[in-house]
Amino acid sequence: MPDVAGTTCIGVDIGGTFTDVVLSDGGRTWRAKSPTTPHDVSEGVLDACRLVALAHGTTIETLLPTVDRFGLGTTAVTNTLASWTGQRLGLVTTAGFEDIVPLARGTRVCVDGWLVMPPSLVQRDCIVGLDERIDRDGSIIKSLDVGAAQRAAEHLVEHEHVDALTVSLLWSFKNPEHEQRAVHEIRTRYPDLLVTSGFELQPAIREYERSTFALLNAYVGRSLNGVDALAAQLAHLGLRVPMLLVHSGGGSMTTDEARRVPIRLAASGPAAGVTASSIVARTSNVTRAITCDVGGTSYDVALVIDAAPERRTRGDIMGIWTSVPTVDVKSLGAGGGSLAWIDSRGLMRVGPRSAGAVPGPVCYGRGGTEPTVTDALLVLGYLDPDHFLGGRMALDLDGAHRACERLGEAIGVTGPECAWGIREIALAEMVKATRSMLSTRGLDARDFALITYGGCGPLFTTGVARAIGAPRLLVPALASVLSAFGAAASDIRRERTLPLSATLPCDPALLDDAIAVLDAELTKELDADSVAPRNRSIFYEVDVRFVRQRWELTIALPLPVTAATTDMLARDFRSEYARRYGEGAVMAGADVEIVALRGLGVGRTVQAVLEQRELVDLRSTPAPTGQRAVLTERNESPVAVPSYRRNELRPGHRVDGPALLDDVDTTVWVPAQSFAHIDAYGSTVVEMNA
Amino acid sequence: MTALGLRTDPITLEVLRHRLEAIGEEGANTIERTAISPVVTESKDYSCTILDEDGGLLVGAGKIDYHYYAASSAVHATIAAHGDSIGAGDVFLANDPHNGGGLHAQDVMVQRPVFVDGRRVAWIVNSAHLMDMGGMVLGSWAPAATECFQEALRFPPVRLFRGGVEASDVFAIFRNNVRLSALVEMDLRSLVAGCHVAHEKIAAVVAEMGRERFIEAVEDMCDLTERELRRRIGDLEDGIYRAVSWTEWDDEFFRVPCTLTVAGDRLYFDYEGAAPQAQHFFNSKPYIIASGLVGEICKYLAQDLPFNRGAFRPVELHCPTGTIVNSEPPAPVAAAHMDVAFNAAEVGMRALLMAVAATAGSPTAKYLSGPTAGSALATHTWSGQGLSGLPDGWAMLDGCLAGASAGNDRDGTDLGSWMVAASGSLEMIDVEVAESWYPILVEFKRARPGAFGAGMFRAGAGCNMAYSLHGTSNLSGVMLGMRERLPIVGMAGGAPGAVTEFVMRDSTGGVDRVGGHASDVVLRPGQTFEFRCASGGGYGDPVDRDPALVAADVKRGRVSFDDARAVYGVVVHTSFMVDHPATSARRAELLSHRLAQAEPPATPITWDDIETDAAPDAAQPLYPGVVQRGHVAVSARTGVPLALSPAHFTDGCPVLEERRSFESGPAVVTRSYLDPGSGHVLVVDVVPEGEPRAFATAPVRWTTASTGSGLPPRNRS
Repeated sequence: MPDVAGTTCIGVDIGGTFTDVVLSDGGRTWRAKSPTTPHDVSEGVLDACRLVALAHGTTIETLLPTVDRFGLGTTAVTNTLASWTGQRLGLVTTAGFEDIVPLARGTRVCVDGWLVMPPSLVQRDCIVGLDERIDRDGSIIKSLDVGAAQRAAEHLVEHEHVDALTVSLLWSFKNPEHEQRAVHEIRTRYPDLLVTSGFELQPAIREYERSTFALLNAYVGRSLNGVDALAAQLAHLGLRVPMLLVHSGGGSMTTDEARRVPIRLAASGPAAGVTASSIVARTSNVTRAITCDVGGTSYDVALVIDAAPERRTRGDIMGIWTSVPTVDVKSLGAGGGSLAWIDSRGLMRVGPRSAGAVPGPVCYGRGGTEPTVTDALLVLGYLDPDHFLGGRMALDLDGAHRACERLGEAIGVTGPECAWGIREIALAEMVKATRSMLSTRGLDARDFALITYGGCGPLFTTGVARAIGAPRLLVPALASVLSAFGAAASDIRRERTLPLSATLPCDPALLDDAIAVLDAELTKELDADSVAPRNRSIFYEVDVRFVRQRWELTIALPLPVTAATTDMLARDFRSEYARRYGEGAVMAGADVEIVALRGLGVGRTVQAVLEQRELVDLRSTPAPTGQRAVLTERNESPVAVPSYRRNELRPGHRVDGPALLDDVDTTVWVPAQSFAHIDAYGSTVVEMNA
Repeated sequence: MTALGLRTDPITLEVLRHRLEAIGEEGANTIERTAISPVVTESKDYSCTILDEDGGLLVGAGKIDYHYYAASSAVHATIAAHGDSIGAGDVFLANDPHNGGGLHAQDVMVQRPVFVDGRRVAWIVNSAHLMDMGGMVLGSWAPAATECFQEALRFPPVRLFRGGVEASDVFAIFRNNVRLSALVEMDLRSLVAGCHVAHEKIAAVVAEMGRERFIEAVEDMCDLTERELRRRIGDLEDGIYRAVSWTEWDDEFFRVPCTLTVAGDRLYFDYEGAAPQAQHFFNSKPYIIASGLVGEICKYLAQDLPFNRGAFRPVELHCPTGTIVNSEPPAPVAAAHMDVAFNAAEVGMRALLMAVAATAGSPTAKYLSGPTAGSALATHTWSGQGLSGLPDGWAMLDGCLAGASAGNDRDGTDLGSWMVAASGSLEMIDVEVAESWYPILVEFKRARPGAFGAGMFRAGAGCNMAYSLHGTSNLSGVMLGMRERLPIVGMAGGAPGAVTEFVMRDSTGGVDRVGGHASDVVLRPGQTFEFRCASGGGYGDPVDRDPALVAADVKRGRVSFDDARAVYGVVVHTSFMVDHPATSARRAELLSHRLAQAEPPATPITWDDIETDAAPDAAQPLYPGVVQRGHVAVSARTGVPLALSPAHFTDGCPVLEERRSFESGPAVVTRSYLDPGSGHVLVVDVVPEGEPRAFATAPVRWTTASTGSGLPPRNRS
């Protein structure tokens, strides 16, 4: 690990509403928030940096030249996708298969009761087929006439006026000759045109995912202009190191690499939060964690296993199914701003419609009239109307009450009962999403701790933990700016995958050869990222499954590879499989196959660390600062629950539930039969089974 | 009792629904993660259903909603067969539609009862399409079979596990009778795995709530769905609505008629008149018909409601015994949920949508569209020596990707039979994946070109794919094609869709048609096999289509310049720009040409013939483009009268007939019923020659409208 003592790291997360910043000097951390400025994100970033410099007792001009690392989580690419304002694209593919991308593999999405096609990045008119063909073995069945590739590009550029172009041919990952020649021809003809290639960016089987990946990169090809402008301004103000960007895979990358594969920034913000959680998990010795980010409109859940975020290799980006290594985040439309309503059966529902920032919850007093989750929490007593956001915003408790009463009348319950129901239903939805996350992987919640962040997260997630049987929950000290911390603290992470096809046990040479290929590639990439050899490491993992299954289990591959290793892979696979899905699911004699080898190049950079403190004497736990009447059970009267100021609690302090721990921007609900303590890194830890 | 008259409070109910859905999803996820065959993992042909202690449907998960009610039926049969001997840790298997379950032999039903404190509280039923269940041909779809005994290994409800212990004898019988048993057994075990995962969670929920409260709550949950669905049915115009379709087998047509009676808050679907059961594998069962039909009804009327046993209560079916909709052994049933069942759901929905169209202000009217294209499958199976050198076989599920019928405000989607639903069902397999698994080389895979299902909004295109051998010496094929002759109709004047076609091309350019139920097809080196999936129908008259949309279809090669002109009346320049003056002229010419060519109406009528001394009534809907004014059916576009109550509203329409004949069997006749005032098409019908109109809409409001209450004609000078 590079020496972090005395290094200065800044992490920034540009969110929808706020731009967060975290500053670390290797020992202590400071944080700040400033409104995001959508027209020019640089403004908000610089404002936030000025504030954090001030908190540190200096100025941005003095601070920036001393910074050793500047990390950024950005929504630049996400915004281009969300607003569908990317480049006009052309696609050159194998003749006979021009419809493959627009048909979207038959995936249909429900909009207003109708099944419709998912959005398409490229119009059918802008797709041209080349008369060529390569087969499953890479043999050329029909040769390519490169003149045809040039004519296709000319047609698309001159007649269809495309801004960028993708070339993606069948089986190009097996034999790239045709695709490379076509790309070369087109790049020579149009040197200024952005041309992406399926083979170059995603050399793996499945033409649809390979093509959409190349298309997505072309589509967002100009989204980083704002980031470039920010880099220029920071340099002007004295920043001497290049920026690192958080990518969807939960690591950092240089701006050069981001320009090559910009779509890897699509889930930059959420990935930064999960990555930061994985650092929290590692420092607090949590091996398996479920991360829960509860924001204004959504509940985002992800997994951290052995201190690494669980990723998926394919999934959808804004409704477009593709192949991109991404931290696997499942998002549900239930957050603090989610509205409660009565459906046609007369039952209460919560979300996915949200009150948004305007009008917001009724209790914000900005004109909202329908009760939200936040209103329910206020009515139930979980929130303190006088100390919301550290007392900067007074909440309208009466308004929230009346709104819940009105909704309750429709189903014959009182206002408080209605509020209780809103929380219970939102909680049930969160539990459903969390369970689904675990069950798709065959994992057991009892092995997991929850790590939770976001505004009203810790008021719900203790309930989630209890429902799924997770024994512990952590609220990191930096919960309100966790994504920014992730930007300041994530490793450089490169990833390369080679498709393999072999039944286990297999010839170790097969793996060795593949490792040699990946090692060369990753070494070159880490060189490009300027990672010093002593700070880099390359790990390997393999995707293994029963022959022809669609889903794989990923297993770490120890080096060196021997005959015993490949035996062990098959054995490990079978036992892990039986553990997840039951002995009855395993058939004796079924072949196990290895389908991919993945190399992970990790560059350990200077990075922010979590502040560690001495534990104080448990007996010095301060007395509650107040108490609130909380309606915890439906048909009982409210219970008097002691409340604590979170900033008065020190590492080592312990509080028994029921209790409420109020921080500036969040409140932790510690239910009965559980207790909370503060660990050495300032995380609030709730032990569910006291 | 709560305000809603329920025993469980509304909050607990909603929380419980989420919990049950979560459990169903966990079971379904487990199946997908552990199964092997692409039918399950890529095409998602599987489900996890949670049922009450007696087998009533509570929650279904997974994409094949068709399974949910079949799961219910399977549990009923298991209880009838095993009664009190059913114990904790038992897992049952059944796959015989005649005895205990399944949509057909391949869709096995794996069933596990849930016991809490020694009492049965629920059932989990998992189902998936297994690649083979034995019988005459690989895939167990044997067009040549004339009895169910030839088709597949048939399990009545038997135990796969007894008290948690594997019944190895049953597994041994299974292994000994199915092809590719190593693959198929993995899939079967994935269903068992899904049962186990869901079982633990259900047991925990019941233990936490207590058995009594759980039972009350799920009853309330189902009651609410029933109550709301009844309310919505109650809004529909009472009356009788009729549609007829025919299931094909080469040159034979088998009648599938449906008469829907909407009476208050009930729907009664009567299939009286269905053809006698036949020696072809399409014979069906009432629970399968109900499963498909009620699922469809809920997509239109109740997509937002939890789909549970409550949804089945307001709907009654009559399927006469001994017919193709209610067959008895030894009728073959390998496609019991396909040809006939899809047709039955289709005519049922056509009838229901006519009721919707006749209801003023119906919230469901926004979903008016042509029938779903479920009855247009062109699946086929292949077997032979696989790439590994061992015997292999598979079903080409891309043949399930028909084009959808058009909606009233949008074109049908390509390669997607359903237009109105909460989630899509089958997905297609990547070309590279198919080529890496199977010994084929694909020549092309595309949306089928052609001006099929034309209309103001046109139908989507079906899958069109061609491939040849690559890596093996020959393959034997079985065709499972439907709708080779009789296309799916459209709505509101839209044209019928494309029909299914299978062809074999040889290296010299010779082309042979392959029959849709051929079971002796051999694909040899040098030959190319091609299939063209059918599609649903269009919506509205093609001459009403926005010319720019027609030009766009011409540009992308979907529609030819000639078809744009002939079918849509749109003149498109070679630059793909619309020639508007020429288009207007061409459309006027088409309309007058239609009227000139048409047969005269059955009962011509003019305002002069109608007594209209009573006060004018407000127009009420009868069918898209047709309104009822008093006792007169009137064209909404031109205001000319079409018919008098209680006659069929097309009685006054000139009729354009087109006849398509075949080497054998009856010809197929397409009849376009025209607006006598303008020549626009009001409705298109397709029937085997000699058959009368295959649709009728008779709301009580129309059949009982008395003479003399019509509107004084506006057009009369």
